[in-house]
Amino acid sequence: MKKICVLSLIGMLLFIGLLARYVCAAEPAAPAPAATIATEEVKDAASEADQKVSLAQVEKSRVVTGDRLYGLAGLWLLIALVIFLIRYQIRDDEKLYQEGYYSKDLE
Amino acid sequence: MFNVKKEINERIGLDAIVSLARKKMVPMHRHSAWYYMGGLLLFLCMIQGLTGIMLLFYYKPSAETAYQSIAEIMVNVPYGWLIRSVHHWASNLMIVAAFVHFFSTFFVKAYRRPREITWLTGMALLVVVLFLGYTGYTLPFDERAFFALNVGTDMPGAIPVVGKYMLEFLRGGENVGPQTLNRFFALHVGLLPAALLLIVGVHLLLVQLLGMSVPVSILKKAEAEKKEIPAKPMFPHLLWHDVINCLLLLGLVVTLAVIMPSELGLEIDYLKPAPEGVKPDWFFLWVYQILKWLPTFIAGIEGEVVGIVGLAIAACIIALAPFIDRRSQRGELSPAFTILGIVSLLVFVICTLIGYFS
Repeated sequence: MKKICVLSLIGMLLFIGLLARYVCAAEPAAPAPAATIATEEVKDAASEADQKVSLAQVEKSRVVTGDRLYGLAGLWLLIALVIFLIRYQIRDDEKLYQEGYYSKDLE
Repeated sequence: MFNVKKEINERIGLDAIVSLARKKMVPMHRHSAWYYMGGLLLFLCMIQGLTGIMLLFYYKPSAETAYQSIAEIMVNVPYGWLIRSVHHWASNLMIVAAFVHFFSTFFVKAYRRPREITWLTGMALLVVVLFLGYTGYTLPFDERAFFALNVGTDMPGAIPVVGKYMLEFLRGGENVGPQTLNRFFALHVGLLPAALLLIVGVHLLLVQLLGMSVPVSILKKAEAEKKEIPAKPMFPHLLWHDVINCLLLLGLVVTLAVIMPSELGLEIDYLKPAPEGVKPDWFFLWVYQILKWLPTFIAGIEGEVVGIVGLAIAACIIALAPFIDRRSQRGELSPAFTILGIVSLLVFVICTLIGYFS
């Protein structure tokens, strides 16, 4: 049981790390308010277009990279390990059940 | 030394709850595997809630900003592509799990007395899950979402009498436009999740109060053999198996998200005509395909109207199965309803496949 808890804790810490990275990302600065001088307006429009994320960039972000596959393999390893330990726990529980432990009231 | 468990126990009587859980038994038979579907569905709901909240940190719900904010999430936000893709795949799997749960419950006739309300709340959940999927599909507000909005909101528009009002309510006007996105966003993050939480709460409470249903065939067999149906404690036996299933499901969702990340279509061009063969998302393809097959007019009435009314009647018959299926209520086998279930399942699967590949 303790091993399962430790592994779950590791999993949770990894998830919290991911969450922190995700949540703490800086948002791109909003374009400056419309200027009154025509030349600046043109400049603003150009910089706004530069800041826009293109569809090609989105497609690039969807590519399966080696890092992503390593991460995935790591996740499956952690899952396999936890399942392996749970199977042991189930076996122990089964024994306790056969001995009538679960039909007793807790004191 | 400060004992956290002891302190909590003194305050809320945790041991009493654990003791009660240990006494709760789950029948074990050849159909027991279906008992795990509800747990999986709940787990997927939790993933959706969590990733949905995370997406809300960066999503900007307006016609001018929605598309670009999704692109930002995919490209500039760390792990944004992963969170969005997990949300996308978990939503699809949630709909699959909801249908599997629905059909398995129907086939084992788990709607029998005293579980009629549990069945009705389950049906309501299926509807809510379908609409959550549909409203979520439109939020990127790309070209695909725009046409899906047009096709999807057209369907309720065909309902007699109230159709016109429903169409205007959903679109926020006569046509799909920027105002439609606001409505769908409000539905997706406000109304529908609140309804889901409420109905899930009632559904789970009823499941706990009434316990698991045993199929009639198993009951009859046990009665004939004068044997008791074997059972195991819900805690920890079923719970551990639930945890294993959820971990495997988590692995599957993340694998799908990594291998096939969520797509983003082209930006909306309001002036562009709808391309040939625009289809709704996969879970409404069966409705779309049935309506496509119908002739324009049937006995002087619009084919689409006949189709929508027919499907609504069929859905009502299935929803009211606990009150119509008298044989099951008497604890007898009811082959008529089994055939109805098989026909419904075949129609759903075949029409979805034809709609997808045509």
